[in-house]
Amino acid sequence: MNQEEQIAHVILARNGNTDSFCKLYELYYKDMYRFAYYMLGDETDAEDILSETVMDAFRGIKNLKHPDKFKSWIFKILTTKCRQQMAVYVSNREHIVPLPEQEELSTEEKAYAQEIDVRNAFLLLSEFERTIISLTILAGYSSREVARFLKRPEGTIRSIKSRALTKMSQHLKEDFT
Amino acid sequence: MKQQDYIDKIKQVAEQVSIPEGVSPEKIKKRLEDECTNTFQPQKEMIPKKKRISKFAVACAAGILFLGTGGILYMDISSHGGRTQNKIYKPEIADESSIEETEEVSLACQSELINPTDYDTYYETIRQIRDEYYATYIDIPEASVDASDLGIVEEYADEASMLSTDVSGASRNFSTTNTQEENIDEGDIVKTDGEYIYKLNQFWEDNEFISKLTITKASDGKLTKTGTIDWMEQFQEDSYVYIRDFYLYGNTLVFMLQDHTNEAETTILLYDISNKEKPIQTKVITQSGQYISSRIADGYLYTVSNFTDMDFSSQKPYKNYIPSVNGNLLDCSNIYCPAEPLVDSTYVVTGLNLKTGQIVDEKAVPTQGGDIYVSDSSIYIYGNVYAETTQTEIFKISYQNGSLTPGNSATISGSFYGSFALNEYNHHLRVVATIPANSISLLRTEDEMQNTTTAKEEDTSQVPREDVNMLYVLDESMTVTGQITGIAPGEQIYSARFLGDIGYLVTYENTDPLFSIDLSDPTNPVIIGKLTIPGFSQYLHPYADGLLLGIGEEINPDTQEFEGLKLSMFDISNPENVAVTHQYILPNSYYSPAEYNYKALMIDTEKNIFGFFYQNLEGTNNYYVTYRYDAENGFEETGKYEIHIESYETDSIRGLYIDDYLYITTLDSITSYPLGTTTKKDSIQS
Repeated sequence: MNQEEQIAHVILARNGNTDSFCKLYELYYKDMYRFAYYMLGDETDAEDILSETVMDAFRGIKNLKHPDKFKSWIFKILTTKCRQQMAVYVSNREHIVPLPEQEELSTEEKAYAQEIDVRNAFLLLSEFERTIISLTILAGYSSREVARFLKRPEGTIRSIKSRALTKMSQHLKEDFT
Repeated sequence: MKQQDYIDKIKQVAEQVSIPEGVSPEKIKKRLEDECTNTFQPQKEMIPKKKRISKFAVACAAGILFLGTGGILYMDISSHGGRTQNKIYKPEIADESSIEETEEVSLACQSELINPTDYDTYYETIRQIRDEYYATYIDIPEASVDASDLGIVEEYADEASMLSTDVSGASRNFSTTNTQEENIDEGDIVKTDGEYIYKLNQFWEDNEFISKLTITKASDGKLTKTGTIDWMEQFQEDSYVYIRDFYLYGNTLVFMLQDHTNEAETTILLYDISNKEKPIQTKVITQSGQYISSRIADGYLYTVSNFTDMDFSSQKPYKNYIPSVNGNLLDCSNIYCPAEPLVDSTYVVTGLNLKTGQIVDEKAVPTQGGDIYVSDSSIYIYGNVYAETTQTEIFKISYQNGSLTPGNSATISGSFYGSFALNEYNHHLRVVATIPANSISLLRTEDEMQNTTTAKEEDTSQVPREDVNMLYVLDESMTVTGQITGIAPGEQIYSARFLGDIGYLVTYENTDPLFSIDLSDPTNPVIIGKLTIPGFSQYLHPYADGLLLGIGEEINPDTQEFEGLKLSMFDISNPENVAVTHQYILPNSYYSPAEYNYKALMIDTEKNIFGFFYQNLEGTNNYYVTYRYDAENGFEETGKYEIHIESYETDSIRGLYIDDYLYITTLDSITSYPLGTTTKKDSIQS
């Protein structure tokens, strides 16, 4: 879908057209789900938060003034909701359950083990680091955009991002070599 | 592997994650269609907004310009495009002839609240306004607040306030939770009465969720386990009890539970701890909605929860859309109808007498909300509203001895960086807000940002080109009496602290200006001082007379690189000419929760001590540090303690002192040290 089509769908969605809204949703829902999943580390919560976001977005889309900003707008709602949910978790983070030592894993098992390890690597990060990494990797935003979003200097974002990636890479180096 | 390789790899793995069926576009489409048929009929054509707004304006108090959801007014002290003079952008609706000629006010005064006569009427009203909204436009009912239902006299008030923990500092020999307002207590995960340490333990261990409170006697550094409350023993296995925070009030412990059932419900547990070895549960109170926050003032607990699971698809049962307290539906006189159908979240607020354990008052108010600020007479629920520009709604509820009186609300342009952006003093609410550039579209791409800069001259939209900061002063009726617009264009508010008639404000872009604002005349706030230094402060705390402590970060103004956590002491004895007396950059420091969570900071200015947790740059070592401040020698590190924890625990570290000992708590331990030394005295798993 090109930019013009997207804008057309936003305008239709603003008038309550569910078809158009869902076409827009279809473009981003996978990224949005993964974003919520790695931010929260929990499938059920990710699903709930995403559903809430969509319903809120649908109810509020008539307020979206710039139809070309749909993605930014819906991600902003999602990020806010995820961070609210993370605040709920604060002192309640699960201990990482270590995986059994590498024995003879089939290809399928290996993929699953990798997936779990990546999820665990996200959980190693503090809330702030995780938000930065998720916005970067899963939503595809640059340090500059993340800096604006989180109201922090770009330099700080860059150093935190780099620090967080180092942490994650230590956890993941066996998976990725 | 390089970092970019890791990014690519992680992304690749993330793309393998299967997406649950429940959020597939098909399923979502079905839900949206259900929503449409159940709650409203979407119209093919929306009535132009202008018409809607002029309708609103009639309901607004005279002299207040209503901006609806679209209006935004700000001052652009433009630094590019050759413009040097101040320019005020008027919101588009200001052109409407129906609007009074009012300038300089970017506030929306909302219609006042009305009570439904019964649940069925409430249901009908909401169904009707929802339908009408989508069919035509909102028609606000005539304002008529009925406050006559507030006649509850509280006889235990005096007794209760006598019980209140003395937080004045005069006779205390221990630290208390760092709160925003001195006499208003806030919940936390660790509390002390100077003799015992009460600590929440909540974490997963070997796939089992631990949820308990431990009571530990702390006497000259020696730690003795005294009592425990274990909730996992009490509750069923499949539900796990999550306690957000708790209070210590005389001989009562007050626990705030988050939704331990499938219903979104907040539970308050009261325990009598006269016998520390055997705490006794004395009261269980429930209220609808997710727990948001709470405060204790003068012996009353005020609890705010958010009731969002409202289902208007059928008229009955009432509990689908009427909140309840202790299982009883709120009386209609305590429910307020939303004027705006999109506000589908109700905030439930209760006042609880801690002496009797009885609910004194309960109210359900319609607001978008998000967080609260509580002064010594009012609860302010504030939160962003989804509009095309960034706006925040502030909803005021006055309280006294547990009784609650919902007042007016106001919507301002911009958003708050945190609760310290609000402060009430002498019956006036002062707030500072940042209106982000291009408002809602914070996440612009680099291309877009460049385009906006070049296309700027032609663009006549209302959206600011760069961040702007505002200060508003509001009176008791939430009407603006004075404001300062266009503070530090291009920068954002990082911290604020209001000390009586003077407000201090830190904004940041490349350097950190600390503004002093004279607020003695509510109709005419004036910036009287500005101090510019590198870096910024994320938290400000009044220290000894005429001193203000800043905790923040040092940023190299040329390279924008982070150089470490920084302590700054400002001399504010002359607000017009604030000066830095000392600053200290923590070597090899990287992150401290104290920057973001003021409760993570231990501070007692009388005793001249403060302490917090931080992580080093490599993320390998964790420390708790304590400081004292000396006018001659500046900041002096009085102790530095290495802490061994997992990185996800960083937010649960607290420090406290009792007499001459420092106690550091982690998720599962307490360790004591004589103050000023790093020699461990005692340590227990707790």
